[in-house]
Amino acid sequence: MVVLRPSSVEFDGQRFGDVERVTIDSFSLDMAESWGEEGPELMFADSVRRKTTATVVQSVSRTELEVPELGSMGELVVEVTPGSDALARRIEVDVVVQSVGYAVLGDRTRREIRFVGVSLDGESSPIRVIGGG
Amino acid sequence: MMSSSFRGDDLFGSGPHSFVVWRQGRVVLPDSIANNDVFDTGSIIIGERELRIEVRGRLVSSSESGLWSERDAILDHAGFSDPSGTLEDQHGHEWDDVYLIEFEPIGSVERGRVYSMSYRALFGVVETGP
Repeated sequence: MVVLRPSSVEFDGQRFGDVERVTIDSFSLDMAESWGEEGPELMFADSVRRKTTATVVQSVSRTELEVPELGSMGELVVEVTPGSDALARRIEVDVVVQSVGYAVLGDRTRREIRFVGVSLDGESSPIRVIGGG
Repeated sequence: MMSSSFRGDDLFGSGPHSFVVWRQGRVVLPDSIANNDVFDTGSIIIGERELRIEVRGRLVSSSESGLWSERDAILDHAGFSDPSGTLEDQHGHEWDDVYLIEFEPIGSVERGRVYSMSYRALFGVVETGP
């Protein structure tokens, strides 16, 4: 999923300002696949190793010395309010900080923070989408 | 397509599986070994190969306990005193009087949308049974 210009983004209680976008990707690292004797086509497939990543991209307009510590764990909270409370969403992802990097293009600077999602019980998705009803 | 079975039980039908018949024919022993003479270059036929059929596949269940029940149902045929029987594949090929010699899970239980486990099961004729 992608959230453009979210109304607020926090990690472990620390608020990030001027967030341009948050992307959350989910993919399979390992698929269990099995064929039978009935024919050439795959008969069984299951996603048995999954990974979730999240990336926060911010515009940076002033000196920043405090950055999230690599390997620290917390909750990434993204709030979306597209004009109506009925459509408001809160996205929560349990994450660990993977990297913090900067890209400078002309007089613009962007900070990109990458996270890896972790499931606290190994079974449920690290992503929770709340609201929208 | 019919289901496969061993002694009338559908043991492998929860997931895809396939049958492989191992090599068949005669067992030939070099004379150098039979006669304990490294200069003896001939060979001797000592008998026929015992039939071996390998089933490879994946057990699939909606629950962990269901998967282990499927595994246990297979192992119920692999005990020392369990009798031989007829093994039949999905295409109607039959092998009579074979034993389930061994069952081997391959890798760990996979937990995704469902619970599943890869395996190989080896069946065969045994000249001197239990």
